[in-house]
Amino acid sequence: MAYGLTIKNNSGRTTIDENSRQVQVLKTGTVTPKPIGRGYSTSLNPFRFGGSANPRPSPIIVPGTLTNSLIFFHPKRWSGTGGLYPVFHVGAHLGTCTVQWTSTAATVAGTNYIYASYTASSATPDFAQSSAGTSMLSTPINNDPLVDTLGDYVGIYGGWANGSSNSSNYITNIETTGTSGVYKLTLSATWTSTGQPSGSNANSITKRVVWFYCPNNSGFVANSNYNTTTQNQYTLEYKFGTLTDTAEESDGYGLEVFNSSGKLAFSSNRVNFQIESITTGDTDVVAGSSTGKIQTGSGTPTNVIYNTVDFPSNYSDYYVMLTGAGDQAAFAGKGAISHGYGSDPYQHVYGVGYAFCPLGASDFMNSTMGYNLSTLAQTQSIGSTNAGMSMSSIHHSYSKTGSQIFAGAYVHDTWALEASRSLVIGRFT
Amino acid sequence: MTTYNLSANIRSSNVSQTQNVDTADTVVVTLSTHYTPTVQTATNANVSISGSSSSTNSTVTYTITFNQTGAYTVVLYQGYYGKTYTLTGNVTGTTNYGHGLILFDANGNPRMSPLKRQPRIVGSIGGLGPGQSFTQYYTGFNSPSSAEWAAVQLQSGSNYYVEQGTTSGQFTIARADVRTSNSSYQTLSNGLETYKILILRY
Repeated sequence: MAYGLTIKNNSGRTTIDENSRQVQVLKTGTVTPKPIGRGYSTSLNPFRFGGSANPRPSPIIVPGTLTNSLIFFHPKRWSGTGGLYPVFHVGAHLGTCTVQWTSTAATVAGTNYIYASYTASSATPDFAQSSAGTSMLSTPINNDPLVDTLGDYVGIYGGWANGSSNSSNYITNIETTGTSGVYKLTLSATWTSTGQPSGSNANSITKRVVWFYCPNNSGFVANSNYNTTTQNQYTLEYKFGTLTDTAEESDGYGLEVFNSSGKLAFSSNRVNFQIESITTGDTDVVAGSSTGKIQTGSGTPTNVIYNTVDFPSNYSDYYVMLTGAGDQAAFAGKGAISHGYGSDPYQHVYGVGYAFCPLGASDFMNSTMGYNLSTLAQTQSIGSTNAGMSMSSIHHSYSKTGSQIFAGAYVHDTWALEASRSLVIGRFT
Repeated sequence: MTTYNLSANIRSSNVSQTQNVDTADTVVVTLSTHYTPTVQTATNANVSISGSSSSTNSTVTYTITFNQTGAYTVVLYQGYYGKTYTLTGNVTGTTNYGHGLILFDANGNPRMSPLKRQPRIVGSIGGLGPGQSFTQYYTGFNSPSSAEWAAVQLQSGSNYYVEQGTTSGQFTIARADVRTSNSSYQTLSNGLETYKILILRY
């Protein structure tokens, strides 16, 4: 170990080591997960809807990059106290957009800051279905110019590298100014006498975005705990963590550890995600012996993994870490799915997503989140004294007849898309 | 300091058992199984494996220890026939911090504890797969224990997923069972051949 600090617990597991870095939660917010695929039932939806008769989810920019940021989320009650214990089904799609900083004033030689405005482009999902189509909006929401691009390069390969003392100019801090829409960006390098004039564009920054969505109509009507007493009383709270070099608190005491590159690896002045459990499963979709069929029966892996939480009465404190993205029962039409695999071998629907089962709800109701193959258990009961989360990790959709997609057609197309086989549950402390 | 010896046969059926323990106790579970079941869930418990097997009709031993009080759950999964062994119970006694470092904030909330694990980013890898499963080497991975490492696939729609295994310095990037044909009724198709994998330690 050249630098840093390694601390192990009595199980031999490290809580700090010299090569890994803790994330800092840079962006927190709430969003209403809206449906993709089919319509929805306003009166039965526990999430907070309003306005549009055909709402679609919007993308949110994630600070950091795909490989240095983590996404956490959970349902959060924002209003009311009544109702039984609704089970929440939430999925996510990932994609990209670009953020453009444009200078609003000429730079001053010898300084390391620039005044600029912020523009985010339309977002594009990583994966688009071929035949059924996913209706998602493309304009990012909940933009936070103060954090969305922290640490990102604005000067490499041109842009604001010109006129700078370093060709890898990146953003180290962003502040508001007295002018609306104008921000003061502190950069990693100083300006030369050439600098940048007003109106010059930095390098476009490709950002990761996430769409949170809820299942289609079938999910709502199938959940007996969705009713008017829980209607419109919940939202989804998210936290985005990424690698940074700043502590989020300034208490003046605590412990900070840096790695050999001088990067902050751990700070006790950060509130962080504390993992309570990581559950892995041997989930898979296996091709059967003939075209158009998948393997079933004993030994066939399931598609759902789940776990309960240690403190079910504090269920609202728990988050899940996003490890899988994709469609969640996008084609499972209301009442249209046959559960008779033997009589119709072409109907099987899996989805990718998460189910939140609070104390008292008893089971995850996975059949409504895209787990409709009847030869395997469609849901898991955890009992009325437990609470937990489940993850459906594979998207696979196929139907010869019966399963109706939102547009009224039938799905004759398939995907067997992987997600992670890891369900990570924890709390922020 | 009691050792509870349990045994179960999950070769063809699921088994659930209950054992209440003290934090200083140890539970040794001897499973009649196939191959080596994986630890699917270990909540409030530490699980170590001995006698790993790569054949059917095997016998594998799991040693389970405890740190803090409260309910615990251990689920072991036998993939050959899709069977599970579930052990639950309550842990009583004095919290066993063992050794390590505990850090608190000004309000007494733990920011670091031997009993709390947080995800830490180690690095990432990505690329275009070769069309079949392959071994990915990554220095330090699974060392000293696979229990504190994770490799998470982040590429939406990829045909590849991670099989972590327990071998130091490597894991398997497995390719899903993909059938390619021009038939409109093909079962499994259309995934991406690219992968983006985040390496975590926790």
